[in-house]
Amino acid sequence: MNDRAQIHTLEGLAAAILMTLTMLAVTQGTTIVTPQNELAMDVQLEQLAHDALAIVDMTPDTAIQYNLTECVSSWDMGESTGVGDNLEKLDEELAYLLPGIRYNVDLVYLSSGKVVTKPVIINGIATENDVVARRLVALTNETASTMGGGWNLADDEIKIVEVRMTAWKV
Amino acid sequence: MINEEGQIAVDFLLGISLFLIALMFVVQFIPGLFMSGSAGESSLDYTAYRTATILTEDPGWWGNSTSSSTDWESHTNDIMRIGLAVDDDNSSKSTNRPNIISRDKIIAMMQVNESIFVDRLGLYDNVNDAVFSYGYNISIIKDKQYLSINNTAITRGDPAPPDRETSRITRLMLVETGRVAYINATELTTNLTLPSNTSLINVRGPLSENITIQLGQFDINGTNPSLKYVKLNGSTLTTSADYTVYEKNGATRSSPGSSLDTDDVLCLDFNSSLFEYNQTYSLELTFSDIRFTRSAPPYFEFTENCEPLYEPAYLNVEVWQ
Amino acid sequence: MESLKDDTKGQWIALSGLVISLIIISLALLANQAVVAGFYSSNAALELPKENIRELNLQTRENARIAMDISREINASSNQSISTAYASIFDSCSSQMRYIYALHGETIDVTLANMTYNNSSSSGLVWANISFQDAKTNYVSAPEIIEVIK
Repeated sequence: MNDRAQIHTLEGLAAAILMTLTMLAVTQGTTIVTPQNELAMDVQLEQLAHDALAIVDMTPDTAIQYNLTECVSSWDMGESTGVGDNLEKLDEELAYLLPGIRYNVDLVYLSSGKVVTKPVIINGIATENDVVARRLVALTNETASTMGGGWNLADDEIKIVEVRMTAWKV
Repeated sequence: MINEEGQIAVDFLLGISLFLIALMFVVQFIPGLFMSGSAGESSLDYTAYRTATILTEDPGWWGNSTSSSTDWESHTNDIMRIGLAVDDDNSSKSTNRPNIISRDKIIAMMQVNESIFVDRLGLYDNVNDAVFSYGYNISIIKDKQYLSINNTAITRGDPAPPDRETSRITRLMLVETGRVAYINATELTTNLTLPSNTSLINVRGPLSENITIQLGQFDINGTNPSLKYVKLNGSTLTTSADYTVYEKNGATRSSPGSSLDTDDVLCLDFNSSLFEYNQTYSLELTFSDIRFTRSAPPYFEFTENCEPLYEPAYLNVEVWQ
Repeated sequence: MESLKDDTKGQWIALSGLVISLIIISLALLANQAVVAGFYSSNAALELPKENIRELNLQTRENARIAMDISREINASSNQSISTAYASIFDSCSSQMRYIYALHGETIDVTLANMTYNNSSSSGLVWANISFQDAKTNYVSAPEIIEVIK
């Protein structure tokens, strides 16, 4: 018997087995399917935050008691100092609609020709993956005095206020 | 030393051919693996987002050769787009209200034929002219369980498979769950001698949806104002079997406190089965320490003053290959 | 037996088998790093300012409605005509919105093209030109016809 040629067969066999085993190990071991992308989570969170503000803005009174315009009208012009919040009605309603999500709310409006940003609800410090949802409301003196807010508006004035909500997942 | 004999050893041939067969097999298999992994995933995300957006924000559309409009729930043979948002005025193009969902459209969505449903919502993938439809699950969740309308759970599609990759998105919306009337309690009337603790509300049946009565701004005359009992056509109703009472604070419900304040909103939910005949029912509410100072007629007519009741709910759309 | 040790001719078969395996493993590792699946679809969804544009439209409609109520009151209490009062209130709303939208990098322009008012039915029709410009999106709705009914 010729011993020399057997090595060729064995080596060919070994190479074939090695390749097939590697391929099997690769397919079984590594996850080729990618885990949920960070960006996709951003889309979900942003859409949910927008939805929550949209619902509070457009709700009829029988569904949610105070809609966004009424909540903002009732603001007493005091800034939130980091502990608790200054716009409780809105905080309760948003907390009910967004379980498991933390948010901060700022109000942006023009005051004597300059734009000011006032934080009204502070629930923590935003993380890296936060999203911002915005909604505009229009305030008049009528709504402000009905809800007992501290806005000093003239009778013929409309004040546009932007409610800016920064939301992140805990 | 080079072998000059000119023969290849058979064993060498065997070895090399085994190697080449394995090589060909591997070369064929691996690219197919990577391709299906990355190409399929992105269209899943697109589909879930698009489906959830159309259902939540679009009122839908139907059209045939003569006319078209947004009330597709009444024209289920000509559906062009399926959407659930309420459209107040069918003839005007910009009165739809995104994120506010109509009950009739939900019921119609559950009854749409499966192939039309998949086709109109685009829940399929077109690969080389072969149509692969996705597996999907569309459900509306309220208070951590499926929303129930006419005793059917609003969920369509199969349950999500645990071993495959799925793409899922959640939207928040207001769903129409019944009819409601907000009544200023000082305007309620009574047929007894004034001032009275009892007031009467007329409800005209038959009713197909559950009703809610919201009462606010009570005229309190005592130390312990509260609701004592409710009578329907003379017979007393039992709480939690026939109706439920709660207070509304913002968006949350709480069980009624021992005494009511002037600016509390007291809500009473009645099941539609109590009003199933074609007659006018008389609901009598008796309080303690609350006065009603207007005399009937006229009684408050619920059926003429009611509007749809909306409650927050979540729409979950999940798709997979 | 010495001849067996010296025979290295078949080693290249095994070697090439090993090389192919290494290539497969590195490809699998590379594919795992490529977490770009879902990138383009999510990016597209995040980039289009759908909510901002819709909010601009809805807010303009609401401003038109509230401004109509206020102009009616002004007209009832002073001798200013409804159209002048309306124009000044509408402009003030538009400029406030412009500042607020400019804060997040969006240029908007809402102008009043025309307004008609029917005294007997207390309703009006407003023509507004709305435009929105982002880094990547341009939206124009001219005219946007708003019906204001009392």
